[in-house]
Amino acid sequence: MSKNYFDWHGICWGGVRRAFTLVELLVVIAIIGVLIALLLPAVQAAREAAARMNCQSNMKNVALAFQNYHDVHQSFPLGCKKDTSGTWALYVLPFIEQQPLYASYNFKRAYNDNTKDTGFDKGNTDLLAKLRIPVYSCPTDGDKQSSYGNYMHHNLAVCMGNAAVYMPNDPGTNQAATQGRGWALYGDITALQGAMFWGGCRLESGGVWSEGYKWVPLAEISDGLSNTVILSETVQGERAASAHNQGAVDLRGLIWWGEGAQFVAYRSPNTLTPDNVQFTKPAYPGGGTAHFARHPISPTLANNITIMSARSFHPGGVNAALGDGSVRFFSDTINIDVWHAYASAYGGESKSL
Amino acid sequence: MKRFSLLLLLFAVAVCGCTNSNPQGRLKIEGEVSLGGQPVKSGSIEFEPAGSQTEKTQSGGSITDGKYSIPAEKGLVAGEYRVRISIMEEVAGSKKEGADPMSAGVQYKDLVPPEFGSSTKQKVTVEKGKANKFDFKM
Repeated sequence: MSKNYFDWHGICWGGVRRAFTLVELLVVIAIIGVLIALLLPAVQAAREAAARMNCQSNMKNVALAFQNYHDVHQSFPLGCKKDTSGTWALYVLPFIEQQPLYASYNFKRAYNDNTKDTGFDKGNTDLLAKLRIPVYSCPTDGDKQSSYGNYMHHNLAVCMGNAAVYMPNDPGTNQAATQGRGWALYGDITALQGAMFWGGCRLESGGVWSEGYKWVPLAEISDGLSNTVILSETVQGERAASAHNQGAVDLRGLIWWGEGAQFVAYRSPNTLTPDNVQFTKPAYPGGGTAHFARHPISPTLANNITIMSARSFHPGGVNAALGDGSVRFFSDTINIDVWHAYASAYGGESKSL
Repeated sequence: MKRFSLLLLLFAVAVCGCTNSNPQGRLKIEGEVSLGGQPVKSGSIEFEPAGSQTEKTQSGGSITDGKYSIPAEKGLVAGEYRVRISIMEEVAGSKKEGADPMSAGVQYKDLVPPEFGSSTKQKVTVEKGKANKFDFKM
């Protein structure tokens, strides 16, 4: 039999040309389909792994910026100053090679003040908060439409301890906030107190924002830099659209706003317990989108208790940067005591993974 | 090429095969919550470790139309837990119409009695091999 019996269009037996039958084609297509179906999850997993690495790298850069900030100022940056007068995200701009943006901010104004100043102290304060800063973002979460004005949401948040962020309304409870520490969420969990090392925002009785913040030098992190979480992830707020949350805004990830710039480790990472965030209405899974099903949200608890947990769209956990500048992945299933200990800067715990 | 695709196939199978998302043996938690005889339309519930179990897990979820359900991989390991419920309701008339969300002044109050909320006295015991269904009538 010579080679001439075979040609491009089919297989020849005894010189009779024969095409593929429909069944043969279907079988081949089915096999290819099965192979692709098997491969697809792997491809998706590889894509997510790459995005997570990118996220880790961003976080590492910011953690190093914190260290560089410390070299210059002998202290870590403030978590936030009042609630709209600058957050860590602003203070470390010069250390992520964004000096011009830093210079464009008018410190006399709130981040969302769109007054156009002229003359000596002119600024683009409002503009800065509308820019995407890639190093503050996580590629897994993408680039979401803002849920509040045109302000850009990002994915990094500083750790404000393992209790709750609390903006007291009554003078009797102001003291702990003055010290810039974590608040015991409820009267009977005093063990969680004394963990917050980031200076905080404080609302005095009478509605005046006081500068209750505190600068934290490395020396104060007595639990050890490698045992203390300084940064973790949050999710970019999504514009709420369901029946449960008409007119509400999801301000998570609005890092120019004091509360949006932080998270607390009171609850497990990616918990299904709704975050307690200001200016929102309940957006529960029953009426929410996929975003809210995974990261539910609820109004603040009594007395403006704000609890925003570490959250991400990575499967199974969140990235977090430690005081020594390293970044590691914390599982959703982490022992809650260990998570609390990591979020405490000077609690004296010695738990580790 | 054939060997390469075979490798890819093996890789895919391996990736699909190694998702044990519940190594601690967490358990599904569910139940019903009512306030004054009415099912709670929307609220939240959370469980904090209160026993001597070594593996400390914390979990919670949303209450929708009187029910809550926490899937096993986000659930709790066996042990004793303190339960807190919160039902935040907008204070009528606190919102300034048409205001920017930041200055809308919306206030919420918690409808839950203190013994179920801020100073809770509710404890439950999660057990293995049992339907962990906890109902709360407030």
